[in-house]
Amino acid sequence: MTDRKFKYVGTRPIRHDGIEKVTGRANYGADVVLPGMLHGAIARSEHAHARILRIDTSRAEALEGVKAVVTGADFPDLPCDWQGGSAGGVDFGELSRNIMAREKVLYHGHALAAVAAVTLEIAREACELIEVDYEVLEPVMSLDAALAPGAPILHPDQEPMGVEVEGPTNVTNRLAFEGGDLDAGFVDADVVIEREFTTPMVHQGYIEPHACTVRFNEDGKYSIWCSTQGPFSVQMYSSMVLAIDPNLVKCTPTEIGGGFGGKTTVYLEPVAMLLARKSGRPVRMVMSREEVFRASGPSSGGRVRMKLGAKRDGRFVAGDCEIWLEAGAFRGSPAGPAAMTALSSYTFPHFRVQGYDVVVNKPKAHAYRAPGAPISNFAVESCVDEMAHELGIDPIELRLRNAVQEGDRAAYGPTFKAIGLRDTLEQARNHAHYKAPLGENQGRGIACGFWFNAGMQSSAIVSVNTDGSAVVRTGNPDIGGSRASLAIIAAEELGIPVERVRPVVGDTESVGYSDLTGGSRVTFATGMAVIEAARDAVRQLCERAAKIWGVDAEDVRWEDGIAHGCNGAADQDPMPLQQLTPKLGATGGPVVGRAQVNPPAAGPGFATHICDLEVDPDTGRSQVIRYTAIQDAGKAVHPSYVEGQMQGGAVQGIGWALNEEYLWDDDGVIVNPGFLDYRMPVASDVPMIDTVIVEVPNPTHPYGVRGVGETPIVPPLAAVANAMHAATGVRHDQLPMSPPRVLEAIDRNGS
Amino acid sequence: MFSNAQRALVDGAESVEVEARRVVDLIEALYARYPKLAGQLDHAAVAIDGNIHNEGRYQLLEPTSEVHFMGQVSGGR
Repeated sequence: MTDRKFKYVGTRPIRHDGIEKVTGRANYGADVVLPGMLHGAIARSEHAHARILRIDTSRAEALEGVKAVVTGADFPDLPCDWQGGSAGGVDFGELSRNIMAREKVLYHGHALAAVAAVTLEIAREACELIEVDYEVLEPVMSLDAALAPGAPILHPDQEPMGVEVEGPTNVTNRLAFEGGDLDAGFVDADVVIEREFTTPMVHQGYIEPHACTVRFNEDGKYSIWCSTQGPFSVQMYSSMVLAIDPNLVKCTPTEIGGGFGGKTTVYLEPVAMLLARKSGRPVRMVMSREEVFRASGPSSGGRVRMKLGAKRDGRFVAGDCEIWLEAGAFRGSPAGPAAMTALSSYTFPHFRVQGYDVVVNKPKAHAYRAPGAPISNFAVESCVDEMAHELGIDPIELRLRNAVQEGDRAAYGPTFKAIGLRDTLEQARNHAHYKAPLGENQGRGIACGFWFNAGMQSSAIVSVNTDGSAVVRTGNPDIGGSRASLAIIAAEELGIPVERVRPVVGDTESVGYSDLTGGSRVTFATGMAVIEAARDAVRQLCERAAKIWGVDAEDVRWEDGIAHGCNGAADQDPMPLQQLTPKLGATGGPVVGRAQVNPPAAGPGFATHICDLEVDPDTGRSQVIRYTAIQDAGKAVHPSYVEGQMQGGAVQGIGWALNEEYLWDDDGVIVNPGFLDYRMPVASDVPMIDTVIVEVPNPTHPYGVRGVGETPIVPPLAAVANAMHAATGVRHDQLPMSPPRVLEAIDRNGS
Repeated sequence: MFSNAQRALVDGAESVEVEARRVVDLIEALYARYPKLAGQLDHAAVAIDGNIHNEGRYQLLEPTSEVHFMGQVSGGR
């Protein structure tokens, strides 16, 4: 099927939701308005670590215009218990405690109480009237502090997993992979590089803050409108946190202004549900930007020790990678995927990867685009670059000598099928960018990156209208252009123009279950469901044509939107869809195709990035002057949105490398919770990101599609750092490479 | 095949051969053989010949299938 000639797949139609978005008509999370609606606000902790001795909400409740106040006492007391399986790895007790503090506050910004009032101003004023007595505790603000002997312990009763330690600890989990004989491998190595790297906690930086509106009915049912990557997740998580039947919760996803993993959990929804129930009126809650920084889920800060051994000819013989990640206030950093991806781009006869999850008094980390992989990859790809310099081998050539290919076993276990890492490296080597001359104070860096790409559950409905158009209905919010991709897929199977297909994102009561929009899975997995649903519809259309012609369904084939007779019915005049659909009523009623899938995660994504950086040696300021992202997409359904993902991932990675970091004072208070002081790249900071799509078909997908959304954020941290080394002679092992840090390094290096 | 954390529960074995028609049958056979492993694989993802299933309990196995137990794979976007 992967050598199939496509008519619509691979084209670039205008997105179906484009007009509504560019004209401002599309409804986002904060746009929902209901009659009688109240406005919610949250009182948040001023301390990073403190025991709550008393919360007095009486003055807030007495304020005119206040209709409801809730605290942790209004939430069911759920046990803290890690649940896997279909729950997707969630501890609902901890999720509940993150949404609203109980015994202790665990980070600056932890929610203490919430108010619903007739205006937002009154709700905020009421929050100021809530009195809290604390016993302030020493905050644990770094990995070193968390691991130090005698460190304050955030969760004294929690048993760590996979770690043998005496007494309470802030380490909550350890996982490891190893193969071969590591010591023998390093003895066998001619050159060994060993370095320790640190990266800061960073935020996804989605433009739209978290927002929801909730209505409670007297029959006990809740309706939620919110900005989310997964309406079914909101339904399940909210009902679990409030210990109610999920059937009582309907979630309608609004348009979403960015998520990048950060909108795959709940923060406001259960709070708004309680306020709506208590007040009897709809409640809208919208985080401010400051609240997004203080109380949503950024990516972990981390420390990675990497040791790499190679022979003189460039063959890697041993790799040892130890990863420590800050989970924030509750366990659950991406130490697992950071470890699983770390060494998976190359073959290592002898290797060990260890990942540690450590709690600190910072916001609870949550998923951010290829969670954990950019952190470990920064260390690995920096060492690979250093090894290329040590050995005098071109960095692309060194990578090609070690790159994994079909049949190689990944460090985390499985054997790769067809993958495109080598193709991306070859494309990089042959690209004009790689051969272009560099000017003074400029340097070029290379880095590769890998992400698994998820499969997971999806369903789809394809209904054929009487005018010969079609509707594709799925349950995945459209973050990266998936409406257009799914419409293209339906058009391909039905044989009708993409513009004749209307893609719809349904709510939890109007579509079958789908896992969230995440893991680079929607065009891959939900796309598979759409293929199957459209084929189901085509099967029905052939049966209807057969009825009209009085032949067997096997004697009808569907091609390019037209029913053709074949075998004993070859003499029938071809019947286009628009001639057939008016007769659907007479041949059995509407045609609705349905499908559900749970495909394996089997389309690994690899990329190679090239970064040119210019550094001002007098100020330490650096500027990315040229950047090329090359990635295996398997098959690009809508190439513009594949390119968009590659460009967006690259820019987020550039920000992580050069500018972004949470800053804290000595008391654990975040001092830069806004876009003025938390500096993300804007359009004027970066050049046009050049892209090259490589297409090595994924053998597990009917069209060969692979996920593309996450892989592009994996290489940039190291690509930029390697360019910085080339430009300045200094290898940075600490991110971000902000101007003061770069200037200090240049001065120290004497260059 | 087992991860490092699991190996401690299976007498240090890196891999074992088991006859099983489905993943769930394989898990039950492993639990019977290694009592310390009981319950540990209930929520593990499985890679069957390189294809990673987050919920693979009822996947069918071939006589030569290679099964790897691992953490669940999801992601950010």
